[in-house]
Amino acid sequence: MSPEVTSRHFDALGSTCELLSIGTGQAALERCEARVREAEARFTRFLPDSELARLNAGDGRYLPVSPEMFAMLEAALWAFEESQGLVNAAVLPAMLSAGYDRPFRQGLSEPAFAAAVQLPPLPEVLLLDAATRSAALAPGAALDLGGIAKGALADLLIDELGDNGVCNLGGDLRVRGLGPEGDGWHIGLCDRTAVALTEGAVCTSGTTRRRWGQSAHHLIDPRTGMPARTDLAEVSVVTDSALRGEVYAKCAMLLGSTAGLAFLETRGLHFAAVPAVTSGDRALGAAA
Amino acid sequence: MSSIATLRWASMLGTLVLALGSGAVVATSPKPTQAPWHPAVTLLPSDATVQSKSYVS
Repeated sequence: MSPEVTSRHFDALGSTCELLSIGTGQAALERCEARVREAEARFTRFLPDSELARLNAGDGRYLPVSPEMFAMLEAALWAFEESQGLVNAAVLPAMLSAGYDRPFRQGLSEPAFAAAVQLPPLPEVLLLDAATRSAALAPGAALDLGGIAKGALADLLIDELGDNGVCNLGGDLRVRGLGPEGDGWHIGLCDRTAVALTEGAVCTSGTTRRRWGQSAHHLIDPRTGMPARTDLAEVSVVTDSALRGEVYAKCAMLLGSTAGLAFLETRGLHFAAVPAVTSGDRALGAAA
Repeated sequence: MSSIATLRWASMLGTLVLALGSGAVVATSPKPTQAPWHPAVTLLPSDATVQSKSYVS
């Protein structure tokens, strides 16, 4: 008889979150959800009094930040380096230019003319001072921590779920333990294949959700300052941490099927990819 | 960028350089700190029960 799986589902971080565990009660899952909501309030760009919004409005001044924010900013700098600039948290001006200026559920409209925004390298506009635990953003620069926060939080919060659980934050998930069948947790990937994992992370990036207008979507290519043009619709990556998986999946999407999948292969990672369906020269997303 | 803002930013960079020179610790990228390890992945048959799913959100 399989052990009982305790589960909890809720909407946060602009998506659906799912917590699964064996051997912990609902109270542990409720604590985990509370931490997700606390993080959402801190890292959202949509609430004017969030810590991220205050940092974005800092106009070049050093501001003291919470330990949680400091760690997330360090993670953002790591992501920039690891991706050689393809994952750039300073992408917010380009997202706004593309029309992503409010929570997606409120409905977005594509600007008649979406200007390409030249994005600065993150290390040039984000300065951290560990001695005073403060951060400064160059005037005009602004951060979106959405994907990075989901990955980093999944890595952090898996500890809340004991030694046998899944922390799935909007598709960025971290896994630990043998699962209900004893061979690891069974996780579905973007191409409808599935893997069993006892420790690790699975993350998916793509352009099939959060689309609006004729061609706008949320995946901005920092090299162009525009929504990415890629021949991939979705990529799932299996790796050791959800933050790394988030970064690598996004890299693969932005690099496209040839260079992107080679990027993952050279790192020896298991992955799944779904090609985009094209109409003319415009990628429309995955075949259903 | 306004000239005042440029000056303010340049001043901050100067402060940072001085801090580095005096041995103060300036944070660098921290996470994840280790080289990636590769999870043991077992491919499941197409009819396997899936407990969770990674997806584009």
